[in-house]
Amino acid sequence: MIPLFQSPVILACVLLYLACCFGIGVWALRRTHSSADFFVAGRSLGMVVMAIATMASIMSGFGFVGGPGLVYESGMSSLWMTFPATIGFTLSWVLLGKRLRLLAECREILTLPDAVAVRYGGRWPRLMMALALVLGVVGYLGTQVMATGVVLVAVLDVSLPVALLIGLGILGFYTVAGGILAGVYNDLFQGIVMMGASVAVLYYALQSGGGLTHISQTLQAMDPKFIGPWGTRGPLTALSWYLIFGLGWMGQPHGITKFLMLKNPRDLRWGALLTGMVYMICSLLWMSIGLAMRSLVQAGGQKPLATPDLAAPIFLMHYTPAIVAGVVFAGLLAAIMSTANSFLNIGAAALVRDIPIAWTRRTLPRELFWSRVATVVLLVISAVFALYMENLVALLGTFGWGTFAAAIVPPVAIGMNWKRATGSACVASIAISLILNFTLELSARHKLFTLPYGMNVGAFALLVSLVVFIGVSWLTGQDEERRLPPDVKAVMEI
Amino acid sequence: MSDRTVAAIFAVTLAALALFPLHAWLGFGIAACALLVLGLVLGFTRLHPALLLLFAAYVVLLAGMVWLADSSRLILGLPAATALLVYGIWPMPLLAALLYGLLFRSSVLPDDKLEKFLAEHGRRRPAE
Repeated sequence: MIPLFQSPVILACVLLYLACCFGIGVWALRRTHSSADFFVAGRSLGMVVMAIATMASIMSGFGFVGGPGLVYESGMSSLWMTFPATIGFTLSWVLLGKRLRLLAECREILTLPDAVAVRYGGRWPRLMMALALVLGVVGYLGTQVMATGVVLVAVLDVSLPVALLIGLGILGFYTVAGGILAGVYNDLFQGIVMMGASVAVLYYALQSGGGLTHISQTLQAMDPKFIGPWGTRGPLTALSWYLIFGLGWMGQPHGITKFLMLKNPRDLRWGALLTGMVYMICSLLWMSIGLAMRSLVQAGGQKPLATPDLAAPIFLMHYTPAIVAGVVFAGLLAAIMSTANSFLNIGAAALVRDIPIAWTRRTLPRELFWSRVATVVLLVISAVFALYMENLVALLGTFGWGTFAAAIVPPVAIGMNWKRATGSACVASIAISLILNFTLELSARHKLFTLPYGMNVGAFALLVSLVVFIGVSWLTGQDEERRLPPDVKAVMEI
Repeated sequence: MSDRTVAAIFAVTLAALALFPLHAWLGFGIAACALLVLGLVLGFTRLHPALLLLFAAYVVLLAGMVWLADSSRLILGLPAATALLVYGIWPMPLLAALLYGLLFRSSVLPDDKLEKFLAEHGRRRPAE
């Protein structure tokens, strides 16, 4: 493999790209004057910015490194993670877009726990939501840290711990330099580049594999299941991913908090369609690299990969022109950083704003200082978590995604649309989802117990959490509608 | 309508939990699909006929994919079932997103309702 620093074109692309991102960070820093600017970009986003930024923050290292790796490993199974995005985006706009945005019109909502506190009242729903966010952020941030490490190992030819150290340094610097405004506009910039890069990569993937028909025939000869609709992991795993990535989109805080950032509620109108379309375009990279690399290995034109996560870096280095590889590498690194920026923002807000408010009903003194401390702590814990788990990037991402989905979908997506939902149900469903996600993941890791037939832990936890949420609400929610404040009731009725 | 829809979500969720340990993947898949559809039903204030048509087409495509799963015939470069997944099932929800956009001003968030809401409640009070 050619290390990055020996390829001047790639290096130039990466440096130019990072300079642009840094410039956006400095520009955003000068526009950040209040906590509303810091947490919800001053509610200043238009529809196009919001839609593309949402797609870019969702795709990140999970899709661009983990996705192709998982296609290389298990064929079409992996695509059940990306296909449901179109229905997931639609669902989140239909169920949450209007409710969250209008709630932010009548209350000072800066974070998801703010919204939960307004909807349910009391301190426990806010506290539990903040706790879920911190735990989910650790898992998902671990994905971004690991993805950065995988890319840097591939291009710099260093060990994984050294690569993680470099990645952490870049992430830490970026997060301190810019707030969420920097993150959003970097996401927009990266999203546009990611779309162009994905179309270019599709062309080179098809060309290197001899066309889609030839790739399919090669893979069919190897194992018909690989290119079949369920892939090699089988239908139950594929369908549990379909469930967790379809319904679970409504539980991703880095996606749904962007509803709070929209300038005008009317801008919700075409957002779902635009986000779904740009996500589909970027998913072409996810699908095409994994299939082409496996086909090339099968045909003998490429040595088998040491680890599936190397599918994207090695394909870019060997099968695309340096300028395309440079742009995609740079876009990938920047996308990882930008997504991590969103997570650090959400996690730090939960630690220094939501938990103290829930506990003491006031914010911390020297909030900015403690936000920076919380940022560093979250980064270190995430790196340790990523090293400990030692999973593929995509599977690590699935754990983070599942933690958010199971904890957030019932109380937020159902709760914002069902007046009988109660705070007790919110607390119970978040608690059960966290307990299930972490105990099942750890017991699988230590080979004590795994769910049968490849059932995804997050999907299982989401189903149980839904049952608990609805069941407890029925038992405790007889007077809930009368308890709702008039503005919250109006938001739920419009 | 929300009470009935939530009751249906509850029943389908229980069914999914009961079906997966039996490895009844087809039943589990139907339950997963039903949950996504019920989510849309909960969010749309009224069921537009075009939405029902979309649901029907989605189910037909999913059934076709399952039926063709063992076919090795290639369609547009992919095995038949995979082609249905990539070229049909994947983009189809975008039509629901298109419908959301088309119905936005008439039934999702009409201008008069929004203006009335903002006039009555549009003063940002503290979250708690």
